[in-house]
Amino acid sequence: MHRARPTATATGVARVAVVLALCAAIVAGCSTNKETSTLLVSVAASLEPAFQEIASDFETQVPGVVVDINSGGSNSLAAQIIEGAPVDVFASANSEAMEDVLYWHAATGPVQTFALNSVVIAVPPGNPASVSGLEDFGNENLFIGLCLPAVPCGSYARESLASAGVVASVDTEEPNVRSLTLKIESGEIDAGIVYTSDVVAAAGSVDSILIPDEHNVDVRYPIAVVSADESGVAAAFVAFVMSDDGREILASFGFELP
Amino acid sequence: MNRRQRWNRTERPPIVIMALGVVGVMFLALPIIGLLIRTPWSDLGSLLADDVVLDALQISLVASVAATLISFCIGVPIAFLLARTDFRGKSLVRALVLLPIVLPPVVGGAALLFALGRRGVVGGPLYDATGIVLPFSIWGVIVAVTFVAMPFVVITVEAGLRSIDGRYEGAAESLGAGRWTVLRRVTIPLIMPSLASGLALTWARAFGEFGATLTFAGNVQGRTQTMPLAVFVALESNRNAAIAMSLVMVAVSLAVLVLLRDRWWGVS
Amino acid sequence: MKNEGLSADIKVARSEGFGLDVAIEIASGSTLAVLGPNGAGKSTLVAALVGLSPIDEGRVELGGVVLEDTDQGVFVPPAQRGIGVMFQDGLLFPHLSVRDNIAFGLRSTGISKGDAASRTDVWMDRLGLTDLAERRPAELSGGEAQRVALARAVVTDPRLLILDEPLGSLDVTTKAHARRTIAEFLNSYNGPALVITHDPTEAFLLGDEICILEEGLVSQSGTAADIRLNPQSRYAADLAGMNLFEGTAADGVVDVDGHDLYMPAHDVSGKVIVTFHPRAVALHRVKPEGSPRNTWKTTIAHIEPLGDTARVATSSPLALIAEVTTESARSLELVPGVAVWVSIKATELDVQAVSVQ
Repeated sequence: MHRARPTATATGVARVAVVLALCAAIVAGCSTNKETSTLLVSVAASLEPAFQEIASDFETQVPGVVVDINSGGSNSLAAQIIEGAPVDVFASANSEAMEDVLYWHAATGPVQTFALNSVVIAVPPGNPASVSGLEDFGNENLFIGLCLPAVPCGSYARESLASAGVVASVDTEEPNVRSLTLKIESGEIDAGIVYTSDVVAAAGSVDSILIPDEHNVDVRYPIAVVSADESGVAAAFVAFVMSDDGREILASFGFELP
Repeated sequence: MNRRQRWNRTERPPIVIMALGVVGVMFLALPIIGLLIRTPWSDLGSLLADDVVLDALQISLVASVAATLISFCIGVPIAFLLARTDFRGKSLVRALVLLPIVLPPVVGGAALLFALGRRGVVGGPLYDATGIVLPFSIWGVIVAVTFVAMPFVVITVEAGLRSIDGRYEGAAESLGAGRWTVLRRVTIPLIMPSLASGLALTWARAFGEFGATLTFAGNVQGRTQTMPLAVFVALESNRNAAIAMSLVMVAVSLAVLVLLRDRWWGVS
Repeated sequence: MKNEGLSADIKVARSEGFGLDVAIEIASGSTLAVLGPNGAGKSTLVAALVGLSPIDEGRVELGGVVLEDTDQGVFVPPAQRGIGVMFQDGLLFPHLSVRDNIAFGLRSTGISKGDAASRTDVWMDRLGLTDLAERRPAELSGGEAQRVALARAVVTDPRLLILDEPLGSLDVTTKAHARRTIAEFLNSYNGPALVITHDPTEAFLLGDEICILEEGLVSQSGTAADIRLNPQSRYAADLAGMNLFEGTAADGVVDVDGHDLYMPAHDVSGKVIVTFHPRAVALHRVKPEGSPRNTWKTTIAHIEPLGDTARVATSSPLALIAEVTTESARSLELVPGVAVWVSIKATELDVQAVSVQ
């Protein structure tokens, strides 16, 4: 006799959704401007803060160019490019992802190393669990977090642990450095291994413990133009990253320079 | 025979509506077709026989069913509060209930971390008193997916409660039924269609949850890695495995939803 | 004994429109029909008696037990009142079978499954529902649903029976049968019963006494004859003041106590109820020409003014009420004892079968 009817709430939600969709379409339409060219730059998650600054400096130096930064795990980014995402420049956190792109997708520019990095132990402020070094990563009573083995920060961390002969008791494998850092900041994870630059970027919200050179890794960040780049803007962007201005910004974000 | 039904003609909608409907169906079906085209059918067996898949499927099923049960126990009562009581700040409560639908799941997960994590507002004292840690355990997964999925049962059941004829409950009371009997034998059966679809939506949302789970519960195979997390991880390393697992998710969801549809919504 | 029946004095204030202020008494074994137009407060009265909506002031006593008393703060919840209600629209639970609908009250009050089943069976048998036991309400005809609703209301042996628009949703052909079922049941029921209706025929046939409810107040109460002969309001005159006769129909003619009335159609036969409005009756001082077939000579029994009209009661062969304007009453010099010709068009007669042959 009785059927449930959609309520006013449901109808209301639907109406709001339609209005929002229309607004989005209008805004998208208006922002298309023929006088500017847009550069899409895919960068590894750990590079994002530095590249946001590089991009805005580049935009002031080269008027009429808008740089969009697309960040994520290096392998995901490589997959996007291979699947045909219209990316102009790719800055990866590992050379394998870059090699994949080169193999599947003819990169037009040379591959250059623009930054170096190392890994470090990150702990919550004040180091509540009194972590002292890599050997603590085997302690089952501690909450240990690493990046996924498949992403660069995870493979570097495991490389470092292996060289110290430690089998880590891992409580979570995070897809990227940022989600790992969040859990360290909030104190859920007692210790994790992140890039040295991340600790600089986190600016005091995590503490760090150095990993000695013999167990540390040599992280090299390759960059390359991956589009046809008929206007040469992508190459100019890469050149800007390699320039003194670019290097200064990278250094301020905790990267070492080649 | 209900007199009203004689006027209840099921007319064919205007052609424009039907055409747009077909466009809509295609829009929803295309990604699935894309998935099927890329599926490595010959390797499917070996890809799915992996422990990673079986572990993740088990955790996903356990967590999504648990979330559905919890949503039934505490989400349906919210619907009753919203539909059947009046109190100050009711609109605020309704907005709060809907929030997890709007909130990016990752933000929801972070918020859960701040509240229920080991150093969280509630989680901290809980850990100090009992040693219980929600993140990095199946309990954390359940908490995260419940948070994101429960609103669906609340809004559907509230709508159901508002649409039923309250006089049936009065009739039951006059026949000697106490409040619980009325609830169990009249109200719940009358809202069964909404309750069933609400729970199905909740289950589906819980089964597919990714962001809040990852942020709050973390990701370790066999402990907190659900199917969506396993798919995401596999996308970084083994594309074919990711596609195969996605296919499993599609199959399980379709099986559950179609099965429940026939059973609960009734085929007329 | 007074405390065997129902005694209720109910005042309900409503935010919109008028409130309800009603006092009723029903003795055991007798039926009170509450007759009123839509919105008169009938539903409010039912809800207040059953306890589904609170009363603002007053007292309800049933069989010597106080169910509600605002002065003493007594309120017995609906589940414990022992009032059987046949609700408007039936309100059969759509998800339960006929059997489970009827057994609902028994099962809810903790009667064992076996006892409930046997008592349910008795009523299903009595009301001819046994074959329908496993059907859902959606699969029942209007008449069947109405019998299920009656069975559900009475199976618990209620101390008061309320029938709220019991024939409201039925079509004309099933109405007669259903009305007889209810009338028979009410004859055998020995508690107080209340029939709520907007249909005067129903009120006259089912009620021992009739109480007319208008805008939340009782405008008149008494037997059917009292109200027919002496309506005290426009509504009572219009609806309750209908001419109503029982008779036997055959071949397009209804025999009412030996007097023949011609029907508009030949489709009914057997025991029937004939009703027609007093305004449908025309009065003449001389035999009308080209007269309708229903014409006869009689004398005026009495006449009484009602606003700008007059209600004229005629004597044998068929005592009926005619309503004429005050002006024509004057010009025709209608006074008691005067001989007049009565005529009624056949099309004005409403003939309904009381039973199915």
